[in-house]
Amino acid sequence: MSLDTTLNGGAGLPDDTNVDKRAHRGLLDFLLMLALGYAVYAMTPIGALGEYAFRAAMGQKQRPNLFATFRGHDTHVELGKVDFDKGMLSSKRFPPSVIAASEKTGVNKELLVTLLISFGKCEGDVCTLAKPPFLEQALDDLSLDDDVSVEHLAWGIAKLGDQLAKAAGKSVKEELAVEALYAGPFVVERALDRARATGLKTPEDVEVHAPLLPPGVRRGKLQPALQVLAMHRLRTLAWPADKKWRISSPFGERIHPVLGTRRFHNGTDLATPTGTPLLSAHRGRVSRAGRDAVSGNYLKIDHGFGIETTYCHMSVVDKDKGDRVDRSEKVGKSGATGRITGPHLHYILRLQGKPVDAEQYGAAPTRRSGGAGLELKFDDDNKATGNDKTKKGEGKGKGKKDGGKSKPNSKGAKGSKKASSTTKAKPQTETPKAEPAKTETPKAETPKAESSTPSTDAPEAEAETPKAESAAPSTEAPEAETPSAAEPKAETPSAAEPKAETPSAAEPKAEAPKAESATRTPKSETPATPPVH
Amino acid sequence: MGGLWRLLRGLSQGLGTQRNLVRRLASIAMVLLGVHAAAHTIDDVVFAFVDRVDLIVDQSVWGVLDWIANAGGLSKNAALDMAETFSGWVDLEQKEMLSHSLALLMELAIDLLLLDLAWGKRGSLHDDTHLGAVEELRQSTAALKASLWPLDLERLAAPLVLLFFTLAGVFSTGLAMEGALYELMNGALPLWKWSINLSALAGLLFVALLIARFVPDLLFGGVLRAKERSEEAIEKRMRQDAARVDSDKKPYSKVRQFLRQYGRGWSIALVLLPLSVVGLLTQETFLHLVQRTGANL
Repeated sequence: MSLDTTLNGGAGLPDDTNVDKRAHRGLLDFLLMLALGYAVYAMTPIGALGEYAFRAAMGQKQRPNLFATFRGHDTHVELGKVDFDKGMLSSKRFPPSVIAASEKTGVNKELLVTLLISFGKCEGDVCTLAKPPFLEQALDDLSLDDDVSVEHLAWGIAKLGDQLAKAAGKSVKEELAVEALYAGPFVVERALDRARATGLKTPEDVEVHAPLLPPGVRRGKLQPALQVLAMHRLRTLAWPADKKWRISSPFGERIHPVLGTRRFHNGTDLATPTGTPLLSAHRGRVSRAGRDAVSGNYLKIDHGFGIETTYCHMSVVDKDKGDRVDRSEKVGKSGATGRITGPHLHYILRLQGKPVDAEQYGAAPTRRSGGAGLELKFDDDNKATGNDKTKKGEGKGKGKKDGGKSKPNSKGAKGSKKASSTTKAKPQTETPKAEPAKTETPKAETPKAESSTPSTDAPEAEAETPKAESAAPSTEAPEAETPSAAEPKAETPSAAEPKAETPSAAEPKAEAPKAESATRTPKSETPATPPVH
Repeated sequence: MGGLWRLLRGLSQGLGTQRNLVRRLASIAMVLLGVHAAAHTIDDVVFAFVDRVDLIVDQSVWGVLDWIANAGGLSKNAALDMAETFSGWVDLEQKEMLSHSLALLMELAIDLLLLDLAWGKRGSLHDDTHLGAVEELRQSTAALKASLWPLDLERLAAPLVLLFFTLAGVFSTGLAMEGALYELMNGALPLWKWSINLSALAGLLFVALLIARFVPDLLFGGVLRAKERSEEAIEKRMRQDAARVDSDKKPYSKVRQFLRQYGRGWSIALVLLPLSVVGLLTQETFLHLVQRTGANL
């Protein structure tokens, strides 16, 4: 009896002797085809087109980006849209518990604060955050509540960092630890192994090894970690040149100095003379290096997570497409190439492809108030403070949209907010500093016992920026390179002073160098004619 | 248990009757994945081209405006304004968007071009008659020889293009499958270190299965389709020659005729073949994984 006979009304199933034996593998072929079909859906523009059409037909507003697969990094496809609004952090101080945890474990304060802003809250001096999925495992299966202390978190990062210590660089080690806290240490280790095995450069960079993580992890458990790491990277962006060079033309709408017409300026112009060394804003990969009639010699660096910087009008470009760069590494020299009237650097910072005001992020020498966004307060009601503020439309969005023209309003709002937070914080900050560590971390013996290992490392804020110091010597203390330290310089007294003057136990010791750096003023070593293009 | 087995067997046999459709869909999926593997290179090439053209055009326009300004026809500021306005039409961002768009269109165009070959042609050998492996192989070899001769560019290039794109697609899928399997294993047995190598082995097995089940059929179907197309083209030309209508008198008819006859073959050989090689080369990640798995096992 043939198979056709059977399927077309024959009696019963065919016996094995007569049936077409190839048909036995029909299920196998079908399953393989399904796997391939899913791969097409998940990995190609055809799949994105299909999903786009489906979502459009269903009236859904959130639709996939058809160009996502051409952005150079798979992370752009897989990581989704990072909420950079949360990156608009302008915290001037670190909560005492963060400082204490950082001192005990050697984990970067900035990283801890970024984690707190994303998933935590501070009540008084005590800061807690939602327990990352693999924190207990990192702390030798220590049983923890759903909300964990910063110290526990810091110990978890320190321990996982040591576990993943094969990767080079301290800052990278901590980033890996955060990744492992959310995605799982074994998955991350394996992705690192695979990245190394494939001969990829800098396998420890999340954007390098993320494509080698299982798709389910990339789209699920890894997302919170990526959000934090993206914010952290944004908060620790270095300035592209020595900070002594004046900003000759800021980001936003402006009247063109030569043409007299109203133009949108998509970057920040630094009055750097020809030959001034230009520094990479962060670790990354050179995605474009070329020459343009307007931009002159230009260099575009992809820092991962949708963060990109572009350097225009360069006289010398030291890097080629595909080169990896470190934070504050020299990438070339400033010049006067392209359509300009004088030498300067046109520096563009893009987030997810959109140009934004570079002065609002990282270690900018000045802080434009238009972007006064989230702020980590550590008083009673500081949970989700920044989100509230953003929702009220007083933050970054407004500043960005009108190109920083909303300075007075937003600065006023920021200043008043700070003043109120400072007032509230006063009684709480009188609490003895050592107290929360004892009360909130009853199970801290285990991690503490291993404190010698991580604490031997220098604080990351110092270790992370050696090149910046050498390339751009200044009177700044090392910590002043971090955004939080650099920020007071830009603040007008109304916004910054209330906090700085608050005599409280919450004021970190490290505030002293910040105050020094705040006194530094930009030098006027600029060309006589303001360069524009 | 016996009932389940019978159900599965019945299901498998039922699906097996549709194997031509299943294999064709799988073939198309493999080719689409392979073409996408070369997409980044397409994007880079397109961007470099657009960048270069933009620079030349901008410089030319500025040269002309500068000359006019020097001749007194325009003020320097007006020339600068016009040049900047012109240059501003296509800035870096727009060039990127343009290159992405062109690369996307090119990828889709290549997908469409290869769709026909990937769908292929299934000859008489592919009906439901089971002749036995030896007889089928003998007949397949004979058919393959007949398909490849007389050799022309399309018949030579098409199987290679299909092979390279297919392998690139299979490798990229294998890598994704291997990662997913690891996640699955690691979820079941979190501390089982061997899951790393086992998932790699399973990934390799998956790739081997894909190649064994679909690739020969895809290539054979592609070759037959190429032969069919070639014969259609020859027939068409013969009909045209026989009719000898006024087409020869029309301008560029020779060019049109040449393009019709050889254009497809040349485009496959000159554009798609290098791209398919690039697509395959981008799969070094998978090849390294094979290397590493072999070393660890």
